[in-house]
Amino acid sequence: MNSSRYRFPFLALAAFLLMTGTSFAEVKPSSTIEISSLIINLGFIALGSLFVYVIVLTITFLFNAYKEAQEHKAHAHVEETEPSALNPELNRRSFLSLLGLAWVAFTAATLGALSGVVRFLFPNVTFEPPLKFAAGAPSSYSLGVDERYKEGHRVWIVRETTGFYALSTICTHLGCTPNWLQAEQKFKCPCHGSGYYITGVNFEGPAPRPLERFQITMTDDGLIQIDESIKFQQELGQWGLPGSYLEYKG
Amino acid sequence: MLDKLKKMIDEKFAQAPSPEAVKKAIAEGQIWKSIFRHGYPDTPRNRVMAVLSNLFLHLHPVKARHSGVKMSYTWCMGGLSFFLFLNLTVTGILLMFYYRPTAEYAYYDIVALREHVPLGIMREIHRWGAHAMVIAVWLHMFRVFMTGSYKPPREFNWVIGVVLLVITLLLSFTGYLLPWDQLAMWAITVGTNMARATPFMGYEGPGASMIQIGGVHLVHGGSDIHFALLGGHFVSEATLIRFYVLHCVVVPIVAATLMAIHFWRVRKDGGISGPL
Repeated sequence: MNSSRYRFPFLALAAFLLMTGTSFAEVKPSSTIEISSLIINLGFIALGSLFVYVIVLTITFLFNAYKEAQEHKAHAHVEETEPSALNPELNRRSFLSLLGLAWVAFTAATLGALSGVVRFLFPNVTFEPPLKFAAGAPSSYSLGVDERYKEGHRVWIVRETTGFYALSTICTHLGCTPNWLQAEQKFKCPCHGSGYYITGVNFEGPAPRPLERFQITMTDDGLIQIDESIKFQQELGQWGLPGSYLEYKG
Repeated sequence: MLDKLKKMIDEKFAQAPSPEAVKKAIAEGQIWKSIFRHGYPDTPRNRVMAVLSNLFLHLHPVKARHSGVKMSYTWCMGGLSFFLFLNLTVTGILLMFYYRPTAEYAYYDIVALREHVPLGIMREIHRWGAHAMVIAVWLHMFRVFMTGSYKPPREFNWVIGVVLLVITLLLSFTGYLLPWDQLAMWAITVGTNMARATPFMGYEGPGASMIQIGGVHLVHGGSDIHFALLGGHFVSEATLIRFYVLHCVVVPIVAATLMAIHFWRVRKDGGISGPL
């Protein structure tokens, strides 16, 4: 008779989950931050559902006890073996399922917190120079390798008679910065001796492939523009693609 | 005159309590009992309690075998590694009073530790200690291997030891960046470039393009393990502070925890230098 009341905690849990679950139906994460916050929110939902279950269970238990006390006055004796408010259905089995729910909620909350910590380690802002920048007028460049943006932007701007190209200063061996040797007309990396021609093609040392080229274009007002987020690799056959070379006969 | 003085001193000494009485008064007093919880007399029980009831000492066994102090057996390399670790911790903390982990001050502070600080070899002691610790842990590993001290039941402890070796090398690696000179910057550039090629976690590694949720690539140049390690796309000021925290807090805590397990397991597996 009294056991039917103990459906209420489960009903309350189901109602809570239904209400909160419907709000997640159309969630479509479009970035890693949103994925993290989704996991954290689910963790909170799990925790909240645990609270709801425990609170409604407590209320049901107290209500049963009250009702039982009322019936106690009417009846002379009571059998302890029957389930009553003093010996409710909260036996070992049902308690363990409560514990299981608690563990699930704890695990979910912990995973949510951990995902937040991991996301914390990836900064949203870096103080590095912009990848896309204007590199001055073509007339300000003489023939050969220009090193004005070597330190600030990690790029050489090379002018030939037919046009310009932008070489990355990152050695393809292990990432050091080669030096341009004007007298020998080659790039030479001081770390392990990789050597490149003025075109960027590797010819000596441990470098496995040529230097990368960045996209080089002309802006509307006639300035050279370099975009380091777009790179062209000769070994992939990309040095003929548009953007890898800027035709200019000055 | 002198005789009178002598007689006075002798009388005073006769009245003084005996050393045994003083000892008894102290060792059975309230202060002693509250601190040490056991007696002072040299009984076997008190000897055991002196070790067991001490937080710092009770990690170690109360008694050690005769063979445990044989230098020719262990070379004392494990103990030496631990001693060097403590040394590096102390000198490292002392260095922290002067070193500022920013691009503006890092190199200058390292120079200052040599020129402006009394006993200007703290930085050198720290660095030489680091080299010595790496050598000591390698020798310790050789010794453990040569004496067969990795065989059952000590396999797990060997594994913990290998992890500790990696931790030692990581400490060396993270600390290498802190002087912020050319050597440091390029060494870390080269070392962390390897992280880019890690499977699944590095954006130039195999499997990186497979990790996506509904078209959103989770592993790219700005979100892989290389980016998280450096705090950017290349070694910069953000990298310096990250490596500083890793070097001074994170990796030492991991090392200390693993060392505690390592020492505990030595004891549990049958003690140091015991027969196999």
